Amino acid sequence: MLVLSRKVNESIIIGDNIEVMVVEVKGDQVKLGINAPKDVSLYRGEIFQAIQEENREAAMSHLPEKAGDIIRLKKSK
Amino acid sequence: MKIQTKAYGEIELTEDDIISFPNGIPAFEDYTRYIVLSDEEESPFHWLQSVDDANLAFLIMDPNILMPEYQPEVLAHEVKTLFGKTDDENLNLWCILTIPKSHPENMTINLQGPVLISLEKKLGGQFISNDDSHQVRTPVLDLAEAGETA
Repeated sequence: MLVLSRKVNESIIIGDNIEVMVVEVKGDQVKLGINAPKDVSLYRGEIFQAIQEENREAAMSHLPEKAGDIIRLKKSK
Repeated sequence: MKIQTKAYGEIELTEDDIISFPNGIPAFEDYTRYIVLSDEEESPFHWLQSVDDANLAFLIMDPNILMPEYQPEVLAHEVKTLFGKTDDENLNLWCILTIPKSHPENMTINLQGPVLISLEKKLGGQFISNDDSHQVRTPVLDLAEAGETA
């Protein structure tokens, strides 16, 4: 992994048209500003990881025999 | 052709039933062919079954059954990249369920990673909803109860 030191208001350029700027540093939190074309997908890293992990869990699901009843039962309460 | 499934054993299907997931499903990127199987007619539960591995199947549900107002905030360009030009209305919206074997009542629905399928184009994919209130693990029974009191 490439590691760069940046100060507030300094930025890095990725490729032709993506700019990442350090907007604010407060304690252990860094606020980043990102300029990128609309067709570039941007997500917090942990979101993608969370979805991967959840998919692994979900793939082990079993449909209980009365799964429909569980929802209906709760509803009829 | 015949395939093995997790829920129903061997079933017969045609090439036409197969939905292509070009990017797979995160954590299972190598599996790109799925079919949607339905449980009993009235059941809200469906299976997203891999054509290539009997053991790989996800329980899915139309999230609007639980949350009529739920609308994922997916990036338009990602939808367009997968489906090309298509009306949103032609896309089927599904969310993946996680049902723990020992405690099915603790089932959760993944509202952050909705699955969109175009039956017309036989294409599908999992997307990310950018609405912070859409969580990967939303308890289904809370939603069912909320729906009841609403």
